Amino acid sequence: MNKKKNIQEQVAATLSSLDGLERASANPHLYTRIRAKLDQELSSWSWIAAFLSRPVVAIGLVAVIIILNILTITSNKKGTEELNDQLVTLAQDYSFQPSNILENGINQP
Amino acid sequence: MTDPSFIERLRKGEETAFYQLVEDWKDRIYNTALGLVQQAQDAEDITQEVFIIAWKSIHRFRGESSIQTWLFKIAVHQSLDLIRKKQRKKRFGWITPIFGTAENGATDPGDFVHPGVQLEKKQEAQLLFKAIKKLPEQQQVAYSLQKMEGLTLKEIAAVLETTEGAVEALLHRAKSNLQKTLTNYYQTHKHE
Repeated sequence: MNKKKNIQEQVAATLSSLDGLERASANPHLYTRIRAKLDQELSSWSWIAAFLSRPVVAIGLVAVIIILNILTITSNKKGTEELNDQLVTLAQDYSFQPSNILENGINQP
Repeated sequence: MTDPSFIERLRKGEETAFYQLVEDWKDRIYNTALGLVQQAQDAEDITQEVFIIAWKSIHRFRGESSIQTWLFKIAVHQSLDLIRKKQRKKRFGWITPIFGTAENGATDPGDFVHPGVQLEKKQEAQLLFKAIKKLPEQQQVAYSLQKMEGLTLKEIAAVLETTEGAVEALLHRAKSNLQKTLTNYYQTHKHE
């Protein structure tokens, strides 16, 4: 019984150990640190912007984009021409004829 | 502090307004973070992060809640984020030695002593902080905000985006859980 009471008292004392707690103080130079971090972030972005806006980098990037576009267009053209050639060969092999008047280009009265 | 002109000055990016915000709130934010993460260096990093986030997102602050609620919300979010990260690291701690990326102090902070605790209560407070760490997240936050910063039920409810009744229930459960943990401790450590 006594032991139980003793434990209860210890628990109560522990639970009240934060009563009258004084507030911990932050670093007095916190603002300077925050400002430095913000400036650092800003400078890393401006470094990226400065790098991209260099004439050599900018012209190089534009050239790469143009080359990629040309490559895409020419590869598409080649593909269509090959497909057309195959269709013509197939039509000739099987003697396909236009099946109706409209396809023959005859105007109806 | 919450007057619209002050918010407007912050929105305009006025350096003096930001300085005032940091100076007025840094101790309260640091104290809150310290109570949750229980490590001075982490609490300082969180405090820095809170003000950086606040500065960057001031345009999203609509003034519906007070600056106190807004800053405490960010602080609680950042603290819980760090606690979760540390718990994940601890859980998968066996992987790190394989890849050789283990960091010092990435797991348990050890025995935390809050600098504001009275000298004669230090031992008990150390024990209580250990027990607080074992509480579920929401209970931990509600209990810490009340004990460390003396926030009212209404203020805690605003930070946790819940009702005062829910906060009351959280605090009741937190106290009962702490009582159980401490009773178990004292039963197994009879001579201390």
